[in-house]
Amino acid sequence: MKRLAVATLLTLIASFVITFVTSAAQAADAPKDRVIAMYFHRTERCPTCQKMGSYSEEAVKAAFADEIKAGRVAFHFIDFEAQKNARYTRAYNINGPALIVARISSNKVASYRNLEDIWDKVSDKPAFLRYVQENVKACLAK
Amino acid sequence: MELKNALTVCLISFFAATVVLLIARALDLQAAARLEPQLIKIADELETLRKQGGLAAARAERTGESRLVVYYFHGNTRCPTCRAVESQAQEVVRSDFAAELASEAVTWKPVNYEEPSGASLGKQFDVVSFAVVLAKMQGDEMTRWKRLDRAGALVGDQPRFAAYVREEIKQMLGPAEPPPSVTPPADSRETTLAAPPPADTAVPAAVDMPIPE
Repeated sequence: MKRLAVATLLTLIASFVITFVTSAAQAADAPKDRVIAMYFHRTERCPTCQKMGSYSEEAVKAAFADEIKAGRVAFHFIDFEAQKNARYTRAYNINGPALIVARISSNKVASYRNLEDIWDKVSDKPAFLRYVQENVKACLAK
Repeated sequence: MELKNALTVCLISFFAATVVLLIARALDLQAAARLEPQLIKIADELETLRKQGGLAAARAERTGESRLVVYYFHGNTRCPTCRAVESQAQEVVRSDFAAELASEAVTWKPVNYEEPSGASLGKQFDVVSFAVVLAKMQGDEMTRWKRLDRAGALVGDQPRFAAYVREEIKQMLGPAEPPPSVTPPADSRETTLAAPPPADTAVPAAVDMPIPE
Protein backbone atom coordinates (compact mmCIF):
# COMPACT_ATOMS: atom_id res chain seq x y z
CA MET A 1 0.00 0.00 0.00
CA LYS A 2 2.81 2.33 1.04
CA ARG A 3 4.73 1.43 -2.13
CA LEU A 4 1.73 2.19 -4.27
CA ALA A 5 1.31 5.61 -2.66
CA VAL A 6 5.00 6.39 -3.16
CA ALA A 7 4.84 5.27 -6.80
CA THR A 8 1.76 7.41 -7.44
CA LEU A 9 3.41 10.39 -5.81
CA LEU A 10 6.59 9.91 -7.87
CA THR A 11 4.57 9.61 -11.06
CA LEU A 12 2.72 12.83 -10.27
CA ILE A 13 5.95 14.69 -9.52
CA ALA A 14 7.58 13.33 -12.68
CA SER A 15 4.64 14.38 -14.87
CA PHE A 16 4.59 17.83 -13.26
CA VAL A 17 8.36 18.25 -13.88
CA ILE A 18 8.02 17.08 -17.50
CA THR A 19 5.13 19.48 -18.15
CA PHE A 20 7.03 22.35 -16.57
CA VAL A 21 10.25 21.62 -18.48
CA THR A 22 8.37 21.20 -21.77
CA SER A 23 6.48 24.47 -21.43
CA ALA A 24 9.63 26.29 -20.34
CA ALA A 25 11.44 24.84 -23.34
CA GLN A 26 8.60 25.88 -25.63
CA ALA A 27 8.69 29.41 -24.20
CA ALA A 28 12.41 29.51 -24.58
CA ASP A 29 12.08 28.18 -28.13
CA ALA A 30 9.55 30.84 -29.18
CA PRO A 31 11.27 33.20 -31.60
CA LYS A 32 12.04 36.65 -30.25
CA ASP A 33 10.14 38.16 -33.15
CA ARG A 34 6.63 36.86 -33.59
CA VAL A 35 2.97 37.80 -33.97
CA ILE A 36 0.30 37.07 -31.40
CA ALA A 37 -3.42 37.30 -32.08
CA MET A 38 -5.55 37.71 -28.97
CA TYR A 39 -9.30 37.41 -29.01
CA PHE A 40 -10.71 39.22 -25.97
CA HIS A 41 -14.16 38.17 -24.81
CA ARG A 42 -16.43 38.59 -21.81
CA THR A 43 -17.08 35.85 -19.28
CA GLU A 44 -20.69 35.74 -20.46
CA ARG A 45 -20.63 35.23 -24.23
CA CYS A 46 -23.33 35.85 -26.80
CA PRO A 47 -23.57 34.05 -30.18
CA THR A 48 -21.93 37.00 -32.01
CA CYS A 49 -18.94 37.02 -29.69
CA GLN A 50 -18.58 33.25 -30.02
CA LYS A 51 -18.80 33.48 -33.78
CA MET A 52 -16.16 36.23 -33.98
CA GLY A 53 -13.89 34.22 -31.66
CA SER A 54 -14.20 31.02 -33.63
CA TYR A 55 -13.76 32.78 -36.99
CA SER A 56 -10.65 34.55 -35.66
CA GLU A 57 -9.17 31.28 -34.44
CA GLU A 58 -10.00 29.54 -37.70
CA ALA A 59 -8.49 32.37 -39.75
CA VAL A 60 -5.20 32.21 -37.89
CA LYS A 61 -4.92 28.44 -37.52
CA ALA A 62 -5.88 27.68 -41.11
CA ALA A 63 -3.59 30.18 -42.80
CA PHE A 64 -0.57 30.09 -40.48
CA ALA A 65 -0.24 26.43 -39.51
CA ASP A 66 3.51 26.35 -40.28
CA GLU A 67 4.15 29.63 -38.49
CA ILE A 68 2.21 28.39 -35.46
CA LYS A 69 4.34 25.22 -35.39
CA ALA A 70 7.49 27.33 -35.56
CA GLY A 71 6.17 29.66 -32.83
CA ARG A 72 6.14 32.68 -35.13
CA VAL A 73 2.38 33.04 -34.80
CA ALA A 74 0.16 32.27 -31.81
CA PHE A 75 -3.51 32.63 -31.05
CA HIS A 76 -5.04 33.11 -27.60
CA PHE A 77 -8.50 33.53 -26.17
CA ILE A 78 -8.52 35.91 -23.21
CA ASP A 79 -11.47 36.52 -20.89
CA PHE A 80 -11.01 40.22 -20.28
CA GLU A 81 -13.44 40.22 -17.35
CA ALA A 82 -11.46 37.62 -15.39
CA GLN A 83 -9.39 39.12 -12.61
CA LYS A 84 -6.34 37.07 -13.64
CA ASN A 85 -6.36 38.82 -17.04
CA ALA A 86 -6.78 42.37 -15.76
CA ARG A 87 -3.25 43.34 -16.86
CA TYR A 88 -4.08 42.47 -20.49
CA THR A 89 -7.38 44.33 -20.31
CA ARG A 90 -5.66 47.46 -19.00
CA ALA A 91 -2.62 47.28 -21.27
CA TYR A 92 -4.56 46.80 -24.50
CA ASN A 93 -7.39 49.13 -23.45
CA ILE A 94 -10.09 46.50 -23.86
CA ASN A 95 -13.70 47.30 -23.04
CA GLY A 96 -15.60 44.94 -25.30
CA PRO A 97 -15.02 41.87 -27.45
CA ALA A 98 -11.97 42.61 -29.61
CA LEU A 99 -9.30 40.98 -31.72
CA ILE A 100 -5.84 42.39 -31.10
CA VAL A 101 -2.87 41.46 -33.25
CA ALA A 102 0.43 42.27 -31.56
CA ARG A 103 3.87 42.34 -33.17
CA ILE A 104 6.54 41.09 -30.81
CA SER A 105 10.08 42.21 -31.44
CA SER A 106 12.93 40.97 -29.25
CA ASN A 107 10.35 39.46 -26.88
CA LYS A 108 8.61 42.82 -26.35
CA VAL A 109 5.39 44.12 -27.84
CA ALA A 110 6.55 46.64 -30.44
CA SER A 111 3.08 47.52 -31.74
CA TYR A 112 -0.43 46.19 -31.84
CA ARG A 113 -3.59 46.77 -33.84
CA ASN A 114 -7.23 46.39 -32.92
CA LEU A 115 -9.08 44.73 -35.79
CA GLU A 116 -12.31 46.67 -35.26
CA ASP A 117 -13.77 45.66 -38.61
CA ILE A 118 -14.44 42.14 -37.38
CA TRP A 119 -17.80 43.60 -36.32
CA ASP A 120 -18.54 44.68 -39.90
CA LYS A 121 -17.53 41.35 -41.32
CA VAL A 122 -19.08 38.88 -38.90
CA SER A 123 -21.98 38.34 -41.32
CA ASP A 124 -19.57 37.53 -44.15
CA LYS A 125 -17.28 34.69 -43.08
CA PRO A 126 -14.92 34.67 -46.09
CA ALA A 127 -14.43 38.45 -45.76
CA PHE A 128 -13.85 38.04 -42.02
CA LEU A 129 -11.22 35.33 -42.51
CA ARG A 130 -9.49 37.32 -45.25
CA TYR A 131 -9.43 40.47 -43.11
CA VAL A 132 -7.84 38.69 -40.14
CA GLN A 133 -5.33 36.83 -42.31
CA GLU A 134 -4.28 39.97 -44.19
CA ASN A 135 -3.60 41.77 -40.94
CA VAL A 136 -1.65 38.92 -39.37
CA LYS A 137 0.36 38.65 -42.60
CA ALA A 138 1.05 42.39 -42.57
CA CYS A 139 2.31 42.20 -38.99
CA LEU A 140 4.48 39.19 -39.83
CA ALA A 141 6.02 41.06 -42.74
CA LYS A 142 7.18 43.97 -40.59
CA MET B 1 -103.49 45.72 10.34
CA GLU B 2 -101.43 48.81 9.48
CA LEU B 3 -98.27 46.92 10.31
CA LYS B 4 -99.33 44.13 7.97
CA ASN B 5 -99.97 46.63 5.14
CA ALA B 6 -96.64 48.31 5.69
CA LEU B 7 -94.85 44.95 5.63
CA THR B 8 -96.63 44.00 2.39
CA VAL B 9 -95.64 47.30 0.75
CA CYS B 10 -92.04 46.81 1.85
CA LEU B 11 -91.97 43.27 0.53
CA ILE B 12 -93.47 44.28 -2.82
CA SER B 13 -91.01 47.19 -3.09
CA PHE B 14 -88.07 44.90 -2.32
CA PHE B 15 -89.27 42.34 -4.87
CA ALA B 16 -89.76 45.04 -7.50
CA ALA B 17 -86.29 46.51 -6.84
CA THR B 18 -84.69 43.04 -7.14
CA VAL B 19 -86.47 42.37 -10.42
CA VAL B 20 -85.40 45.76 -11.82
CA LEU B 21 -81.80 45.11 -10.71
CA LEU B 22 -81.74 41.67 -12.31
CA ILE B 23 -83.13 43.03 -15.57
CA ALA B 24 -80.59 45.87 -15.60
CA ARG B 25 -77.72 43.45 -14.96
CA ALA B 26 -78.90 41.13 -17.74
CA LEU B 27 -79.07 44.08 -20.14
CA ASP B 28 -75.59 45.19 -19.04
CA LEU B 29 -74.17 41.75 -19.69
CA GLN B 30 -75.78 41.63 -23.09
CA ALA B 31 -74.37 45.05 -23.97
CA ALA B 32 -70.91 44.06 -22.69
CA ALA B 33 -71.03 40.85 -24.70
CA ARG B 34 -71.90 42.85 -27.79
CA LEU B 35 -69.16 45.39 -27.14
CA GLU B 36 -66.38 42.96 -26.18
CA PRO B 37 -65.33 41.82 -29.69
CA GLN B 38 -65.38 45.42 -30.88
CA LEU B 39 -63.21 46.52 -27.96
CA ILE B 40 -60.76 43.69 -28.63
CA LYS B 41 -60.60 44.72 -32.27
CA ILE B 42 -59.92 48.34 -31.33
CA ALA B 43 -57.18 47.26 -28.88
CA ASP B 44 -55.57 45.10 -31.59
CA GLU B 45 -55.65 47.96 -34.06
CA LEU B 46 -54.10 50.33 -31.51
CA GLU B 47 -51.36 47.80 -30.78
CA THR B 48 -50.60 47.42 -34.51
CA LEU B 49 -50.55 51.18 -34.89
CA ARG B 50 -48.18 51.52 -31.93
CA LYS B 51 -45.87 48.88 -33.44
CA GLN B 52 -45.85 50.75 -36.72
CA GLY B 53 -44.58 53.89 -35.02
CA GLY B 54 -47.71 55.60 -33.73
CA LEU B 55 -50.25 57.96 -35.19
CA ALA B 56 -47.69 60.29 -36.77
CA ALA B 57 -46.05 57.35 -38.53
CA ALA B 58 -49.41 56.18 -39.79
CA ARG B 59 -50.16 59.72 -40.93
CA ALA B 60 -46.74 59.90 -42.59
CA GLU B 61 -47.49 56.62 -44.36
CA ARG B 62 -50.76 58.03 -45.68
CA THR B 63 -49.36 61.40 -46.67
CA GLY B 64 -46.06 60.13 -48.00
CA GLU B 65 -43.98 62.14 -45.50
CA SER B 66 -40.37 61.17 -45.02
CA ARG B 67 -39.36 59.65 -41.68
CA LEU B 68 -36.59 57.59 -40.19
CA VAL B 69 -36.97 54.36 -38.25
CA VAL B 70 -34.08 53.42 -35.99
CA TYR B 71 -34.31 49.68 -35.46
CA TYR B 72 -32.43 47.88 -32.75
CA PHE B 73 -32.18 44.19 -33.57
CA HIS B 74 -31.31 41.65 -30.90
CA GLY B 75 -31.59 37.91 -30.46
CA ASN B 76 -32.97 35.80 -27.62
CA THR B 77 -29.58 35.57 -25.92
CA ARG B 78 -28.41 38.97 -24.81
CA CYS B 79 -24.91 39.77 -23.57
CA PRO B 80 -23.68 42.97 -21.88
CA THR B 81 -22.29 44.26 -25.21
CA CYS B 82 -25.68 43.84 -26.91
CA ARG B 83 -27.41 45.64 -24.03
CA ALA B 84 -24.81 48.42 -24.04
CA VAL B 85 -25.23 48.99 -27.80
CA GLU B 86 -28.99 49.22 -27.34
CA SER B 87 -28.91 51.59 -24.38
CA GLN B 88 -26.23 53.86 -25.84
CA ALA B 89 -27.90 54.04 -29.27
CA GLN B 90 -31.27 54.76 -27.67
CA GLU B 91 -29.66 57.44 -25.53
CA VAL B 92 -28.24 59.14 -28.64
CA VAL B 93 -31.67 59.09 -30.29
CA ARG B 94 -33.36 60.43 -27.15
CA SER B 95 -30.90 63.19 -26.42
CA ASP B 96 -29.84 64.34 -29.88
CA PHE B 97 -33.11 63.85 -31.74
CA ALA B 98 -35.67 64.70 -29.07
CA ALA B 99 -37.63 67.05 -31.34
CA GLU B 100 -37.70 64.50 -34.16
CA LEU B 101 -38.83 61.82 -31.71
CA ALA B 102 -41.62 64.06 -30.45
CA SER B 103 -42.85 64.75 -33.99
CA GLU B 104 -42.25 61.09 -34.86
CA ALA B 105 -39.99 62.05 -37.75
CA VAL B 106 -37.68 59.60 -35.98
CA THR B 107 -38.93 56.47 -34.22
CA TRP B 108 -37.05 53.92 -32.14
CA LYS B 109 -38.02 50.27 -32.56
CA PRO B 110 -36.46 47.31 -30.80
CA VAL B 111 -36.96 44.04 -32.70
CA ASN B 112 -36.10 40.48 -31.71
CA TYR B 113 -34.92 38.93 -34.98
CA GLU B 114 -35.14 35.44 -33.50
CA GLU B 115 -38.86 35.75 -32.91
CA PRO B 116 -41.29 35.05 -35.78
CA SER B 117 -42.55 38.65 -35.62
CA GLY B 118 -39.07 40.07 -36.29
CA ALA B 119 -37.47 37.35 -38.41
CA SER B 120 -38.47 38.63 -41.86
CA LEU B 121 -37.46 42.20 -41.04
CA GLY B 122 -34.10 40.94 -39.76
CA LYS B 123 -33.61 38.95 -42.95
CA GLN B 124 -34.40 42.01 -45.04
CA PHE B 125 -31.47 43.85 -43.41
CA ASP B 126 -29.13 40.80 -43.34
CA VAL B 127 -29.12 40.86 -39.55
CA VAL B 128 -27.20 37.95 -38.03
CA SER B 129 -26.37 39.48 -34.68
CA PHE B 130 -27.40 42.50 -32.64
CA ALA B 131 -27.47 45.58 -34.86
CA VAL B 132 -28.65 49.15 -35.21
CA VAL B 133 -30.34 49.69 -38.57
CA LEU B 134 -31.52 53.01 -39.96
CA ALA B 135 -34.41 52.83 -42.43
CA LYS B 136 -35.55 55.89 -44.32
CA MET B 137 -39.24 55.71 -45.15
CA GLN B 138 -41.22 57.67 -47.70
CA GLY B 139 -44.79 56.97 -46.80
CA ASP B 140 -44.91 53.20 -46.41
CA GLU B 141 -42.00 52.61 -48.77
CA MET B 142 -38.43 52.16 -47.57
CA THR B 143 -36.15 54.24 -49.76
CA ARG B 144 -32.78 53.72 -48.04
CA TRP B 145 -31.35 51.73 -45.20
CA LYS B 146 -28.05 51.30 -43.45
CA ARG B 147 -26.84 48.84 -40.83
CA LEU B 148 -24.44 50.47 -38.39
CA ASP B 149 -21.93 47.63 -38.27
CA ARG B 150 -19.29 49.55 -36.35
CA ALA B 151 -21.56 49.96 -33.32
CA GLY B 152 -20.22 46.81 -31.65
CA ALA B 153 -16.62 47.87 -32.11
CA LEU B 154 -17.18 51.39 -30.78
CA VAL B 155 -19.49 50.64 -27.86
CA GLY B 156 -16.61 50.61 -25.39
CA ASP B 157 -15.75 54.18 -26.36
CA GLN B 158 -18.93 56.08 -25.58
CA PRO B 159 -18.06 59.46 -27.20
CA ARG B 160 -16.96 57.77 -30.44
CA PHE B 161 -20.03 55.54 -30.40
CA ALA B 162 -22.36 58.50 -29.87
CA ALA B 163 -20.65 60.53 -32.61
CA TYR B 164 -20.91 57.60 -35.03
CA VAL B 165 -24.62 56.98 -34.44
CA ARG B 166 -25.41 60.72 -34.39
CA GLU B 167 -23.66 61.37 -37.71
CA GLU B 168 -25.23 58.38 -39.42
CA ILE B 169 -28.71 59.46 -38.31
CA LYS B 170 -28.06 63.05 -39.41
CA GLN B 171 -26.93 61.83 -42.81
CA MET B 172 -30.02 59.68 -43.17
CA LEU B 173 -32.30 62.51 -42.06
CA GLY B 174 -30.65 64.92 -44.47
CA PRO B 175 -32.39 65.73 -47.71
CA ALA B 176 -29.55 64.45 -49.85
CA GLU B 177 -30.63 61.40 -51.75
CA PRO B 178 -27.96 59.28 -53.39
CA PRO B 179 -26.89 60.88 -56.69
CA PRO B 180 -28.59 59.32 -59.68
CA SER B 181 -26.41 56.74 -61.31
CA VAL B 182 -26.52 55.15 -64.71
CA THR B 183 -26.91 51.68 -63.24
CA PRO B 184 -29.28 51.61 -60.30
CA PRO B 185 -28.05 49.72 -57.21
CA ALA B 186 -29.30 46.20 -56.71
CA ASP B 187 -30.89 47.15 -53.39
CA SER B 188 -31.45 50.32 -51.44
CA ARG B 189 -28.75 49.65 -48.89
CA GLU B 190 -26.30 52.47 -48.32
CA THR B 191 -22.88 51.37 -49.39
CA THR B 192 -20.04 51.81 -46.96
CA LEU B 193 -16.68 52.84 -48.29
CA ALA B 194 -13.89 50.39 -47.57
CA ALA B 195 -12.56 51.14 -44.11
CA PRO B 196 -8.88 52.03 -43.90
CA PRO B 197 -6.63 49.29 -42.51
CA PRO B 198 -6.42 49.30 -38.72
CA ALA B 199 -3.75 51.63 -37.43
CA ASP B 200 -0.82 50.25 -35.49
CA THR B 201 -0.44 51.47 -31.95
CA ALA B 202 3.29 51.76 -31.38
CA VAL B 203 4.46 50.72 -27.95
CA PRO B 204 7.31 52.81 -26.52
CA ALA B 205 10.41 50.77 -25.69
CA ALA B 206 10.08 51.65 -22.02
CA VAL B 207 6.59 50.15 -21.80
CA ASP B 208 6.45 46.43 -21.11
CA MET B 209 3.16 45.08 -22.44
CA PRO B 210 2.00 41.68 -21.18
CA ILE B 211 2.35 38.80 -23.65
CA PRO B 212 0.27 35.64 -23.13
CA GLU B 213 2.34 32.46 -23.08
